[in-house]
Amino acid sequence: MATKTAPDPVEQARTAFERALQRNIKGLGYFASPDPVLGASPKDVLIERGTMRLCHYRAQSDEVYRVPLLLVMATTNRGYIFDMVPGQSLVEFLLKRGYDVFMLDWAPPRPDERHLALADYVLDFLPQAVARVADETSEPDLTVVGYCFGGVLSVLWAALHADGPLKNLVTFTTPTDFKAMEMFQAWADRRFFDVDRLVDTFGQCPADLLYTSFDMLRPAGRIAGNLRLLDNLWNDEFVKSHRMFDRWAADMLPLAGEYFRETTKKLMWENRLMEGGMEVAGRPIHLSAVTAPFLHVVAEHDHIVPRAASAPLIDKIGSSDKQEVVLKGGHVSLVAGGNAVKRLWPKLDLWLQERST
Amino acid sequence: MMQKGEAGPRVKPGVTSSVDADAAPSDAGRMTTPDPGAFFRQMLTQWEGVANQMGTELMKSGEFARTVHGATTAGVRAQEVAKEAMTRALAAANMPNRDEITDLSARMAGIEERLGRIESLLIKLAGADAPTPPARPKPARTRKPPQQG
Repeated sequence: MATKTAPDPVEQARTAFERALQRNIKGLGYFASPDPVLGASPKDVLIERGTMRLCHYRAQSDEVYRVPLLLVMATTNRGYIFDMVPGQSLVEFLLKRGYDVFMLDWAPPRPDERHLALADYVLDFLPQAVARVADETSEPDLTVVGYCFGGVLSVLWAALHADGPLKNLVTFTTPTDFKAMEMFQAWADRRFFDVDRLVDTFGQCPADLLYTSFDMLRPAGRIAGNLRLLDNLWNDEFVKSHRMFDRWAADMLPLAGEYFRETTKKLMWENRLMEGGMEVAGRPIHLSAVTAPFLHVVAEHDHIVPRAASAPLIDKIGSSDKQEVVLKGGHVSLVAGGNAVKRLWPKLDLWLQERST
Repeated sequence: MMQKGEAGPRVKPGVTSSVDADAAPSDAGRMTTPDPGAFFRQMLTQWEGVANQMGTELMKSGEFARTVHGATTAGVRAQEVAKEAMTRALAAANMPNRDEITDLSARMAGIEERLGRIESLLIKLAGADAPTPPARPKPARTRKPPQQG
C-alpha cells in the first residue's frame, strides 16, 4: 500500500544529524569490538579427522523426526553459515522444528592432505559420516542436505550408493552445468590457467586465490558494501548482519591440491556432470541412479552459481518424487539471513516433514 | 546483494517447479521516512550495478584471463625459485625442508589415527567395566508432521 508524506526539512535535518552522531559514536565501537561469535549452537564433535569434521547438534525438542538430517557443507567455506547466531541459524530452526541435525564440514586441509582427491570425499569422508550418523541414531535412513559444492559431493555419493541409506536428498544452489558459470570458466580457461603448475607448486589451492576469485565476481561489491556500512553505522542490526556475513565470506578454506586439480579438469574444463563421462575413482556416475525424493533449491539472483548452472540437475536425477524451487535471493542470502528465514527455511521444513517419519 | 534482469522460472514437464510468491513488494510510491541520504543510496546502487556489469564483461574476455594468469604464473615461478633456494639452504644447514616436515606430519597423523583405533578397541574390550561418561538423554524419534488444515 503506497503512503506519501511530504518531507519536512526540519525533520530531515534532525534525522541526518542524529544518524551522523550515531555513526561517529558507533563507528568507534565497530572498530573496538571483537568479531561476533558464530556457529555457537551446542554440539558434539563426533569425528575430527584432518580436514573432515562431523558434528551432532544437541536436540532442542523432546521428540524428533525418525530420519536424521545431515548437512554437507561446501569445501570452500566454513559450515557456520548454517548456524550464524540465534534467530538466524538454519540449524537452530531445524532443531526447534524437531529434526535431529548433523553437519559434515571442513577444516583447512593439512599440508599432508594435499593428495586428497574427489574419491576421498565421495567414497571415504561422506560414507564415514553417514555410517557414524547411523551408529549414533540407530536409524537406517537419513536425509542429506548439500550446499553448493557440498551438493555436488552429496549427489555423487548418492549416485554411487543407490541402495544405501538415503531417504531424501536436498541440494541448495548446486552447480551441474559448469559451462554456465561464465566467470569461473573465463578464469579457469585451460589455454591460460596451468592448474598442474599451481597445484605442484603450492600443494593446495590457496584460500587467498579462491577469495579473490569469488570477490571479483562482483568487482564493485566490496567498495559499495563498505560505503553502505558507513551509511548504516547508526543501525545496529545492519552492522551486526554485515559483520557476520563479511566474516564468513572472508573465512575461506584452501582446497586440497589433487581435489582442486580433479574438479578443475573434470568439471570446469570437461563439464562431465552435465555432458556425461563423470567418474569417481573409475566408478561411473549416473545421476539417474538417484531415486530418493529430491528437492532442488535454486537462487534466482545467484551470482556464484547462476541459475543456468544449477537448473539442469533436476532433469538428471532419476527420482519420481522431485521438486525444483526457485527462490528470490542470492547464493548466500538463500540459506542465511532475513531472506532465508522468510523463504527457504519454511519451505524446507514443509518438504521434509512428511518425508522424515 | 540482488541483481536484476533474471528471467522468470520455467516449469518442466514431470517436475514440480515453483517460484517464491513472497517477493518483496515494490517500494514505488512509498515515502514514509524523510531521508536525505536516499539520493546517495540510489546512486550507489546504480553505480554498483553498472560497475559490476562492466567489470564482469571485461573479466570474461580472453585478454583479461591471459593477463591475470600471466601474473599468477609469474608469482608461481617466483615461488618455485624461492622454494628451490630455500631447500638448498636448509640442506646446507642440515635442517629438514618443508616436504620433510610435511611427511613427518603425515606419519604423526597416521600414528594418531592408529592410536585412536587402538583406544576404541580397548574400550570395547574393557566393555562394561570401562568408565563412561553419563549418556545424554536422547529424544524419542516419534515426531509426526503437524496436521495440515
